[in-house]
Amino acid sequence: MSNIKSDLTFFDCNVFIGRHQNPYIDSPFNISILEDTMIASGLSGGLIYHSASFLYDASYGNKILLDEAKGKTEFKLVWIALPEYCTPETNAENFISQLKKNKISAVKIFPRYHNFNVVTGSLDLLFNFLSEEKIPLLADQEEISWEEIVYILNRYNEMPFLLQNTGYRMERYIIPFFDKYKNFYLDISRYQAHGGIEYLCGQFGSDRILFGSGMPVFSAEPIMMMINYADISLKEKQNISSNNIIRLLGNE
Amino acid sequence: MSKTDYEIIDAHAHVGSYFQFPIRHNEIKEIVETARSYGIIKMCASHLINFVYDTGDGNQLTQDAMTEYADFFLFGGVLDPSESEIEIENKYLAINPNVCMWNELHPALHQYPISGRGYKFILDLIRKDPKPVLVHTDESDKFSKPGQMEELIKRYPEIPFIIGHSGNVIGGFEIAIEIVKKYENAFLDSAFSRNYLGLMKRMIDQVSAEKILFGSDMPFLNGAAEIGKLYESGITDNNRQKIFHDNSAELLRIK
Repeated sequence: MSNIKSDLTFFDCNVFIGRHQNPYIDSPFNISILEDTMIASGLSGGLIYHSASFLYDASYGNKILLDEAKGKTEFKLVWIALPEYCTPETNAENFISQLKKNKISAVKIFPRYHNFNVVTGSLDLLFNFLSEEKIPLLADQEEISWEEIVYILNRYNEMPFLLQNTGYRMERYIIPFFDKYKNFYLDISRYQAHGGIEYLCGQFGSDRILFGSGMPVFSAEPIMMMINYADISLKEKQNISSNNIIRLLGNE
Repeated sequence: MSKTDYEIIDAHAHVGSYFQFPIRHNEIKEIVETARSYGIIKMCASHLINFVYDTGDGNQLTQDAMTEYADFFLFGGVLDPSESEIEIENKYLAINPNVCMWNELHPALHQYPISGRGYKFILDLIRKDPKPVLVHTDESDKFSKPGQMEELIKRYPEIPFIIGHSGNVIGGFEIAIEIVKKYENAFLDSAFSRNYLGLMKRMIDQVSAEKILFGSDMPFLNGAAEIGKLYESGITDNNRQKIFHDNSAELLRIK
């Protein structure tokens, strides 16, 4: 039962399970701990990936995500992609068929940590598929350059691109994306700007702003409260807290 | 609009604009309206121009805001350690009667180490009429490491010190916690943007809720998000009451 009084439904677009570097809670953060934390915070569900996909090996982590989340209907799954999964000769078709078979809801990339650059075209085959299927692509702001984001948004305007963990000081970078690209979406887990939500809703509408927590590194309550108290309409709050991500995942 | 169940006293806030990113709705009236909509009843604030341009203009602009909203604002005085001793003393004497709290001494933006001579001069002035002093800290910044505060906290036991942002990053939080555990006149500040899951509860468990003051850092940060961190699971109503209101009411002598 959440300590925050709210009539809103919160679906978290930014969560992972597995080992982590938050020293204030136990590691690993497994799926049952996530479920308990979500109940305590009053969250209805989340879009999750496994940190082993990021920290160790993407295919290993993607597989154990399936195992750990089996039967947990409140979670939608994210797989991590690498360039070597997407070459014509090797795995592109295999990776894509695995995405379909396992009902993966979104794909996330970590270009800096995993040592590649999107502008080389190394993930173009995958992006083509994601565009056709309108499956969201996710990336953390510190993991991708602004130039790579431009590359993605210019070429794949049917693929929803969700930028995550963007700090409140980055607004001058992100406003042009909102303005120019209709497939640009923002997770507000680190966007703790004074009057920020109100500004974005006023300028661009509420449809491309998504509630995320960044758990297990960060806490959900600050962002829940930020939405709860924002000086916007109830409909806009509902869009941000859950409707937008549900629509993006094709579950409206 | 929604409100919390608490009458919140905000011990760490500002007014004004900033060079690095847009601060919207930063007119005094808008900040007051927003803060009140969150349940904040009193706010100790200083003008942001103090930290990046001029403390003369800054303290005057703070004073103007105080005059306009005397029932809401508490004067947060700012002094710049890189100015001459005469300038510092004159500014101190001019504003001290109105100052509720020194909010904040900012080693990072003034580019002056906490342990430097200028801060000792400032604190020698403040000890004559001791009022709480909020010092910006950030373990990742060479001038404002929280560990550098320990010497000052020990040297000026009559001054209550609030460790601004509680060290601000992993590593810094731990140092700030240890200092607050050790010294009666040291307190943690709840204002920090990196809201690690479990951190607030850890702070309460380690130093007790009595030694943490609520700060929004508005309009630098989103005040609602700063309030929200106190609603994390495991933090009791009683501890929220202390952090949101009681501790600051006592320290700032608000009836």
